[in-house]
Amino acid sequence: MNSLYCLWFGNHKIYNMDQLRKNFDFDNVEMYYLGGSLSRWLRQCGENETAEKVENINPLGDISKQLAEIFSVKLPKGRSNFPTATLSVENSDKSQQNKTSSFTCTEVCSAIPKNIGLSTFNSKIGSFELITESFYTETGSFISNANSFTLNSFSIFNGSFETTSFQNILELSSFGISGSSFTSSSFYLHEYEYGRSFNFCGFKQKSFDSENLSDIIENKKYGASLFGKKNRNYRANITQLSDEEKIKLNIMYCPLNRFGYGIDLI
Amino acid sequence: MRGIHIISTAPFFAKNPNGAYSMNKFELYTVVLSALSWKSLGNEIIMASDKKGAEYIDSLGIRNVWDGMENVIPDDLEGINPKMFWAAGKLFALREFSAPLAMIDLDFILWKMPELPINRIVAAHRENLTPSVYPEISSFKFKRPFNTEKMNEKVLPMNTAFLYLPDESFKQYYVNRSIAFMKSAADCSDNLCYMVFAEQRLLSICAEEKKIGSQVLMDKDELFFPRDDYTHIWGAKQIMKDNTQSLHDFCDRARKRIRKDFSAYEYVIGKIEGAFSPFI
Repeated sequence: MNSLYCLWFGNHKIYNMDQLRKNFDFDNVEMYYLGGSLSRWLRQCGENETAEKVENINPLGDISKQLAEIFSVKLPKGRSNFPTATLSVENSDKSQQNKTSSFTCTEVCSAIPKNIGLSTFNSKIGSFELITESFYTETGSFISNANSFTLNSFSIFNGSFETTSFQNILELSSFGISGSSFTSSSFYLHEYEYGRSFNFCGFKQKSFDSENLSDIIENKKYGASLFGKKNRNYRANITQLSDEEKIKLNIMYCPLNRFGYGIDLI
Repeated sequence: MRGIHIISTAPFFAKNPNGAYSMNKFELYTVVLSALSWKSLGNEIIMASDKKGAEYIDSLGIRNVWDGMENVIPDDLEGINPKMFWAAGKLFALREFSAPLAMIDLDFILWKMPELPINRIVAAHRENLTPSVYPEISSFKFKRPFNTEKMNEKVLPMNTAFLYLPDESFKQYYVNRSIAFMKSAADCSDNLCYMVFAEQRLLSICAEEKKIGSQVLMDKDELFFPRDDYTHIWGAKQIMKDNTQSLHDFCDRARKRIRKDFSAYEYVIGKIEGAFSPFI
């Protein structure tokens, strides 16, 4: 299955047996032996007999000595390579210190503090379009001067939502603010689809216009559901956001983005 | 471009000698999306596995998601400690497939085709030399000699959730050095530092030593900014294992994505759901 390859001893590329013997390097030959590609390389070079000898090396014996014999090279004084004692107690303790619960979490947690929360999200985004993704924050406020929202779900727990204008929530499947308020100088809700939910504790706005809100309330008992909406990626101009704001925004797209990345794209 | 997914079951059976290997539902949806998206970008995707891994995929009835399945990973990892070196199967798979190739982790999805130059390796991103993850090389203990002299400790490791290797000779050098390291390392309880050294730090060290150019898909300092090109489930795996609602939300989105963008493979949803049905 492999393409042709050369061995690499320091800066020397080894293409045949003559070059191997001339530049014989125990560290590298042993490395290719342990890595499993030495005999394949030998067969690639047509050295099948030598390859067979390499394949028959006793891995529990002295590899250096056996390779020296196979390739007819002098074994340096004191050179040997065979498995010895297992780990010392001292090293075992050190390993335990280094151990973390999950490798995959390490980098993430160092990049994003746990319990980051959302004290304030001051959006500088002119338009905010998020379809079939979730906008979610555990705490804090969402403050935005955006005038266009297209959301699939929007949730704030123990926080507030403030915007100068809130309209065009065409695709909203649920909108929930628990424990705080929704404030908007104007609010226009239209084409609000059947069977969705709209929940919040406080609701304040200077004007309110909804064509179908009564239907929503009336039909809420049927529960919220989604009907095969298109999954479009979020697109927003975020160049004006600080790094911290970008990270917060990213977590809002999908809370799992705190532990990986691009998970909101699914 | 040929891409390879890898399933190595040795780490599972080292912990569960009498268990039945399986993947979580979200893991299955992710790997299916990973394969289908990679194919949709005009590439080939092969599943490289050991015997048990191949049997598992076959038992699910989703083999056709991949363009082929190759049983190339030794069940015993050639004696390497599977608890310490839980990703060793990736190195064995790399050893068996010809360059150029791209290795894609099961939890990594490319939504856009990256630039893959003919003379530079490409990895997901660089990583910081955090001492708790990447300790001093001199701290490693070995049960057989392994030469760490002249290793450049300053080069940043490369995350191999995605790894493109264009050159066979360099690929063999890196893979053989990594496998030799794993076979030489003393057995211990460390299941992090030794593994990421073998897979990720050695890659950068080898590339720097052989003057092989490298580039990354993403800036390590911008991984958690909003993005539209790559998905890496990474630490969210544990969240979904611990939180049923997160799991359900994710799987729901994955099903919708398959139906919308890969409708020819909609049957896979039934196969996966069927595998988790309480009535089976």
